[in-house]
Amino acid sequence: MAAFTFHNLPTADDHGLLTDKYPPGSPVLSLDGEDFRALFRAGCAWLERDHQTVNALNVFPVPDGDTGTNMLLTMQSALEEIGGLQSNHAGDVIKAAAHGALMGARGNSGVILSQIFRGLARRLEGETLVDAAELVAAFQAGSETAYRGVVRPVEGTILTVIREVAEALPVKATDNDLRALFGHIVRVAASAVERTPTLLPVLAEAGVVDAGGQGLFLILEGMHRCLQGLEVFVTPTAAVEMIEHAEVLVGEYGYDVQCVVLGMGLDVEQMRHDIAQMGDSVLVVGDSRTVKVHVHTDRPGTPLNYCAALGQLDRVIVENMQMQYERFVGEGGPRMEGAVAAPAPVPPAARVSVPLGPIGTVAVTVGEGLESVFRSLGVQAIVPGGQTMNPSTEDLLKAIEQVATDEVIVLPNNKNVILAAQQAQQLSSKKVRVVPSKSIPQGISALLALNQQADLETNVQMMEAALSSVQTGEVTVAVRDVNLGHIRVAAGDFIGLRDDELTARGDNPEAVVFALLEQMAAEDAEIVTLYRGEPASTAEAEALVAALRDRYPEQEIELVDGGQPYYHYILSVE
Amino acid sequence: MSADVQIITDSTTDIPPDLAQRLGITVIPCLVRFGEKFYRDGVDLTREAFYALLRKGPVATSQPPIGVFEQVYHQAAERGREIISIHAAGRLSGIYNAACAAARNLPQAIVEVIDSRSASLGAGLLAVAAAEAAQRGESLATIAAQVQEMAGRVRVLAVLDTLDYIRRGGRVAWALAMIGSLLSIKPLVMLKEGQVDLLERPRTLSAALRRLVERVRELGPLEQMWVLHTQAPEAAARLADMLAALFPRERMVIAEAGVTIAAHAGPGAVGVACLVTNP
Repeated sequence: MAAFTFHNLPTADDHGLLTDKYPPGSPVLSLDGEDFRALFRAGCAWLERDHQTVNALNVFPVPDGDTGTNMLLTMQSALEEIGGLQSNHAGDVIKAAAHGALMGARGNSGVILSQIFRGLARRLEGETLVDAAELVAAFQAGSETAYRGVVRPVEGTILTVIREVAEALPVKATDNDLRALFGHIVRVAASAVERTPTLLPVLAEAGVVDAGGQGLFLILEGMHRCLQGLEVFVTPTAAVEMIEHAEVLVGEYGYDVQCVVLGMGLDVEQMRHDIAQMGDSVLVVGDSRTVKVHVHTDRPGTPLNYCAALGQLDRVIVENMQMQYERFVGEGGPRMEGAVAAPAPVPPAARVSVPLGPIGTVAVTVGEGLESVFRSLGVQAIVPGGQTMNPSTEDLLKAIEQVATDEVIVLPNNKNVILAAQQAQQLSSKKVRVVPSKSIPQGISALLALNQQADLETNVQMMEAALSSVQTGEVTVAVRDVNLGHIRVAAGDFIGLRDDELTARGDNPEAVVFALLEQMAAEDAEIVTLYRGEPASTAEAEALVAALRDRYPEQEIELVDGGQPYYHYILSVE
Repeated sequence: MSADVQIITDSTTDIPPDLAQRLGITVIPCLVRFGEKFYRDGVDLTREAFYALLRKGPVATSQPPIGVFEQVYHQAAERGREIISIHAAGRLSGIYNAACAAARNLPQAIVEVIDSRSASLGAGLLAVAAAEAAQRGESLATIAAQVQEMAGRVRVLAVLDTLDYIRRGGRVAWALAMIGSLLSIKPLVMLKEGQVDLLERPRTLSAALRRLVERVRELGPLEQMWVLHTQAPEAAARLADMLAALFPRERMVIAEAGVTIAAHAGPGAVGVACLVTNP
């Protein structure tokens, strides 16, 4: 893996809160550029404090939800841009934030967040100071821009939250106190988040609120707290409701341990393997010199001793999750002070090779084997990422620009990367088309349909048509209990997703593979391809293939080393 | 009365030996090399022996020596024949160049060397048509013009079992670039005007055959259709059945490719050589 960077950004703590400038009790009539800097920092810090909670709000209990991380990285990118700006002009600061968010946008929620900022920035362009009426108008512009940025807006998501905030604001437009206005914004956002399950049945089934909506709420709440000062008590909000469902946070392990290991020749794969033995919610990413470690464990000393033996430790964080949880519930919300988690890792940069024809291709994937498969099919640039690490708009844009051709087709290979890819398409000076592949098998099918003799538009049509020629199955481990009506899953069960829907559970990965193939009517298919992931051994995979050949004698069964994390198997049925 | 025309070709045109004999076509064997040892295609090496060797290690193919062409041309000229020599596409192999060089070295012989811009039975059907015209007593100029015209209408479509051999053969740029394909793919390729293009990349033989038939359908009305294969008689019969919707099954010729073509396409390939009506 190539190097990733850690953002080193000030938090609201470093900067002071706006109560110093605007004492409590007197109205805040306008905000300048410095104030907006403080607001964005506070929003980011407040989200950072809770982004793991947001990550846990997955509809399906797959072990790699990362909406919180994506939104956090998007916010951090916004802050970085603000940090480089020398201006006390409100419009300039918001414009910089919007640009930073746009370039750093990851995942669907990150992209939508960047669109909200873009709307705000356009409305407030040229404003030195922003008053309540202008901010109300800007939120409305933000909502409209966010909706326009999505092809088929879905209610019960972050979109609903920003829209409800925007719609509720005119009622209070006569109130010119921005502090009161933010209080109103936060209340509306909280109730919108709470009601997301009523709008999106899949959330209700899973017993969670929408993660992106919750992330936006946290940003707004952080801004509100900045205006209020830390000591101001915040009414219990959707966050409490939500964390009761998010069992992964509390889990069976007591401590959340994070650190960064700085060394030489670090073996990330080996470290991931070793640390996985020490607990759960394991995240080990980085390169030979810098590795970010995150694990939930009962013995925090074990991973820390292990890491200390490999190199120098930095950013060590140990939190007692049980106490944190009790405090959280007891006080109605987390407090701002205390450890601030290190920012999540940024995926390494794309790797690029020479094109085979006039049309270049960029694919998003993770796992050495899958990368080799895409390369062998002629992809020039691989952007590392996928379900676990959604690449940013900027990552995708860079890969597009690095490919030697003027015409580029992008394969996101994940539904949560499509929007960022589309945004990169708009930003690129090249002729870019996004073929919206939602899975690795879809991406491979699309790529097989690419014909360098045909023109770009014809290829896009052929490749889009190829998306539906393949069914995708994914096998992983549930990270929490969930009852979706038709299917009941306990944490630790093996689960199967069929075209992104949780449809199977089993006591072992093999049983889930069989169940998925049954559902996909594999007996009518011609070829079944199994991409073996990191959690499955070669011997297990080969035994499974032998069993499948017995069950499906008419079908070709192919085993490919994918090397993808978390997913024992990805199935492709054609 | 014009002189008799002798049709000469090389072993890459895959004309079944009995047909070549009946039409009086002289077939010059190409050379296949395993390690240090050279074999003459169809002469020193049976298909069975060839495939056994192919499984063991790398194989190289090479054009017949210029001297062999000269010898064959000389013998035909001695018998008072004018010669039409039809060979695999100059863009794909050195055979055509070797033939041209031999013709230049024999100013006393009347030799028209024709670049088929095709290979295997795509070139073979041109040689067969030329031989039939020669049997009807047509002149060299007439036959040569006819073959040149037909060459623009020949299409060979094939499904390969693997890209390994075409890549190893080193004659097709895109195949070289697709290093180490990790998925099983049955590439559908088309040879036209001396160029091999990758049309599609289906994952299974069934899908590939369906697509091949569809691509043949898109070629429009056909005057000739030959089915060919490399050690895949069952797939060839299956393809012929599928193609029967497009061309009378009884007029289709099914032939097994010779070892030179097999060395480049690999075993398990199946395809069709067609003569389209409207190029």
